[in-house]
Amino acid sequence: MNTKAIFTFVVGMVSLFFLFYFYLAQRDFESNYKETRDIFYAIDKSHYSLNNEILKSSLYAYSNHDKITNELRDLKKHYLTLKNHKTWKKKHYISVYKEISAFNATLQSYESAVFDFMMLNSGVRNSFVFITSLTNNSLKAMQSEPELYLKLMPIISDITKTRLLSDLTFMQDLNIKITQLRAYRDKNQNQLELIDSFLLHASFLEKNFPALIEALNSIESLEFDKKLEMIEKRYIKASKQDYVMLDKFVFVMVALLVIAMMMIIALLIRTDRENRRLRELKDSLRHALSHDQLTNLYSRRRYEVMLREFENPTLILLNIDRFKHINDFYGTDVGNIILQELALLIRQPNLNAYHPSFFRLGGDDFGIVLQDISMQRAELLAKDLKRKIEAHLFDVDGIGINITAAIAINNVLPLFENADLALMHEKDAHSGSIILFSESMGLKEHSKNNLKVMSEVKLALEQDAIAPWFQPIVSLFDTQIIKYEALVRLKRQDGSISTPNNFLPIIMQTSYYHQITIIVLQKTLAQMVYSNLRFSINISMRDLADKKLVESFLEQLEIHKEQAKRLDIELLESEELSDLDLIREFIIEVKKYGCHIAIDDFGSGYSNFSYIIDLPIDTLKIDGSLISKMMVDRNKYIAVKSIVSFAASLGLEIIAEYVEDLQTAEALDDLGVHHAQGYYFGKPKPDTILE
Amino acid sequence: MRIAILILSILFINTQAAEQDGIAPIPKTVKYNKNLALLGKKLFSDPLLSKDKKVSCSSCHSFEHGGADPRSVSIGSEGVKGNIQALSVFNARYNFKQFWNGRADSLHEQASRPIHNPSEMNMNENEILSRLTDIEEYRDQFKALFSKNSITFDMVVNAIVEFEMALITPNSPFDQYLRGERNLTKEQADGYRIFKELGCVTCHNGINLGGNSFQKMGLFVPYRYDPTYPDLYSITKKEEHKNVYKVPMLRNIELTAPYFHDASANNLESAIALMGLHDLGVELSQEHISKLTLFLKTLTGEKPEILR
Repeated sequence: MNTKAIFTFVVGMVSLFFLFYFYLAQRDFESNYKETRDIFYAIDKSHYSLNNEILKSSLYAYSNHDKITNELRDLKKHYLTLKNHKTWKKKHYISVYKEISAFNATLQSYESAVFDFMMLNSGVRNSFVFITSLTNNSLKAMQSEPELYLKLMPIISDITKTRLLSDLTFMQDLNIKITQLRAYRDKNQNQLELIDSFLLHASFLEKNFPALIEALNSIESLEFDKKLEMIEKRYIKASKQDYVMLDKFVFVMVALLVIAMMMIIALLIRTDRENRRLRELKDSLRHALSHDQLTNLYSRRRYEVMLREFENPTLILLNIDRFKHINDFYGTDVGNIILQELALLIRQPNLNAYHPSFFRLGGDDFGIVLQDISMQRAELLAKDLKRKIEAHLFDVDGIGINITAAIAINNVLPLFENADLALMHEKDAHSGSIILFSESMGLKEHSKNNLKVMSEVKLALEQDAIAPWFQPIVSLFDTQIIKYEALVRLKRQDGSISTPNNFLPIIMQTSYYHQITIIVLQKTLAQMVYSNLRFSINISMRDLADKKLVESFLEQLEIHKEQAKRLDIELLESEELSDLDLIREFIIEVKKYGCHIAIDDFGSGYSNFSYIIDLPIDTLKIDGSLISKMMVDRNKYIAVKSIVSFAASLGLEIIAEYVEDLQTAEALDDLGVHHAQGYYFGKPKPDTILE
Repeated sequence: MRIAILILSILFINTQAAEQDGIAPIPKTVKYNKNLALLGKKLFSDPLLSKDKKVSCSSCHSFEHGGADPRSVSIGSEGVKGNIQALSVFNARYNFKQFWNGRADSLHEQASRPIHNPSEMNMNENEILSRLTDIEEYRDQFKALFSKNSITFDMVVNAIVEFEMALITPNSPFDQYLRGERNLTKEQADGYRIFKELGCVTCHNGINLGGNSFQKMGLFVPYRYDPTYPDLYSITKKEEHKNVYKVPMLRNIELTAPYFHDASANNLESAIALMGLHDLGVELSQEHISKLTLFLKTLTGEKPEILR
């Protein structure tokens, strides 16, 4: 693109240069041509004037030779100007220049002929005048001597006729007549002087008048103007070569111009095409902005825009249950296919009456906006949709996958936010039914509380009001404290203490969570300096996917190497399946520092025996919900018993939580549980207890 | 403005009308570069320009003798004699060619010749330049006029020519007559009539009454031929150009004796008689001669302004 523009520019500049050069060359040529033609004309004019003066001087009695000589001088000056003109420097004028140089000889001969003519003309004219006046002066003599008259008159007649008619044939017999007069002279002594003078001039004329005519003819015979004209013609002919050159120039120039024009046209077409492509790109970008790439549903952004135009909108918000698991388990490609298929599936024809708009509002959040529909009707349609989704077998590469979805319906503004709150509520509740948002649900208060907690945590972090409290773990054998579990506590502004169940779930997705984890570890490790016992801290398996957190964690162990040897790490199972390799890697890493690993809350919702078998763990903590009810719930007692026997067979240390009475403690001891903790043995207390 | 145009046109018409019978008056004034001409004047009279530092241009073109040499031949540097009678430098600018045989087309061409001529000033250019450069006054003047630090021979010639261009002798009685400012006396008028009638005017015409064509000495009655004189034949080698010379001008003729290339006439009367016989084929009467003489004396003009 750029090089083409530059090329076009260069071609344009070159043609401009040519144009300029052409202009100069043409101007130069024109001015030279005009100048030389002018000089030719001036020479011609001088020559013409000169001939005119010569003619005048041969006819008129008085003539001013200055005019002839000045004209001659001008002629020579013009000739020199012509000869020295710069035009002749060009090669193709060499022959013309040679001719002009050669013309100098003609000019010299011409000048010389003119001078010769002038010389003769003076004498001849004087003789004519003399003879005329002599005739007049000698009338008396001729009267008295008729014979003299007879001798003189024919001569006078011949000379006069010759002069008047400029015809030499009238002088043919003059020679005889002069000879007769000369013979007569000897006889007539009286008029000797007259006759001698007469003879002198008559014979001068006889000799010089033809010479004068000849001189005139010789001026003519030089063919001055003919030669000059010839040279001028040659020059004009040669100058046509200049025209040929200029023509070639024009050709090149036009060619360049055409090329430049074509380039510009090509560029314009290209630009136009580029523009069209850009417009298309812009359109597709706009589409991409308003449409979800994957499902081709409207995007969240488009939702925001369209929201203003909806009339009485009702939002059906749909979220795939455990979609993260699907992605983790089958890979995102499968997840994407499910999303795409679901996008088609939600376009149920029975929605059409309510001007439905379909959106992908988030990762696995789908939205359907219906207009002018009652909540009851919407709920019916949503139920139908849910049924259809859950009945649908998503076929991915021959694998059939079933999904479940949570659905919330809302027609209260803000539409999405309220629906989202309702959906989260439903997710927490796991009711499996459609939830309808209503103000009375107090969901807003709930979220308000969340905000309050967040600011509480923020403030606590700023004021260093977060610290671990320590609950003793005792040996059931002799009730001696064998270690402490560090439990995070937050000291509120008013001095009251907040337990983690109040704030940890809320800040789970924020950076505060990370900070709190590290603070508790750091402060625990610091506290351990004052004790010889082991300490345990809690960490969720899910946290181990956070590389930064793991990094900070190991950093602390590195700093407190001595204390790390006495640290137990209680791994909390999390709902989402975590990468076992990741957990194994972490365990290997911390075991290098001498840490022990415990599985926390074993026996609650998702407990997985495979962890215990696959991972190199040291301790099993039985979930408090089993312990606290084991004395009243037979099933729970059996569960505890089987966990203990399982753990014991693996040689694990077993700890029971939530031990609140002696009866339970004794029962656990009987079952073979090694250690226990709970209010019966001691509540969590700030660090002071250790001093 | 209109009046100026009127005056100009009258002047123009006057000068046009002033030409009569092929004879034109000398302009009352001519334009020239005064400072350059003054420098030329100094050079013209400076014997430094000759080898022995005794002869200057003005030695042979005497301002007291109509710009010509009263001697029959000029005597150059170291006493070497020339081969022809020196022509007048006055009004020479109006001559169609310079020298007796017209071998120089212009004053520029003419001016350097006598300087080099062994029988005249016998100098070379370098010698002149070194002599001039030695003199502070010349150095300064040349520098002021040509804006160059060194003097060239061209500058020297240019200065001399500029001076010569200033050498005009206007307002002779005849020019005044031509311009209608005065009448000729009866004798002078008779002389002028005879001048025309006999045909003198056929050669002696134009602004200088001559100096504008070649003519043979002895057109009717042959004149003695002496090949030592540089005539036109010496250039063209054409037989008919033997004894052919530039027709001398008649301006200030009473001051420029002796006459002819060979100084064969010491006074006007004998010169007129000689011319009448040889170039008009007429033996002039005493009356004609004296009247012609009176007419010729009306051709003496004012001394050039630059010499006053």
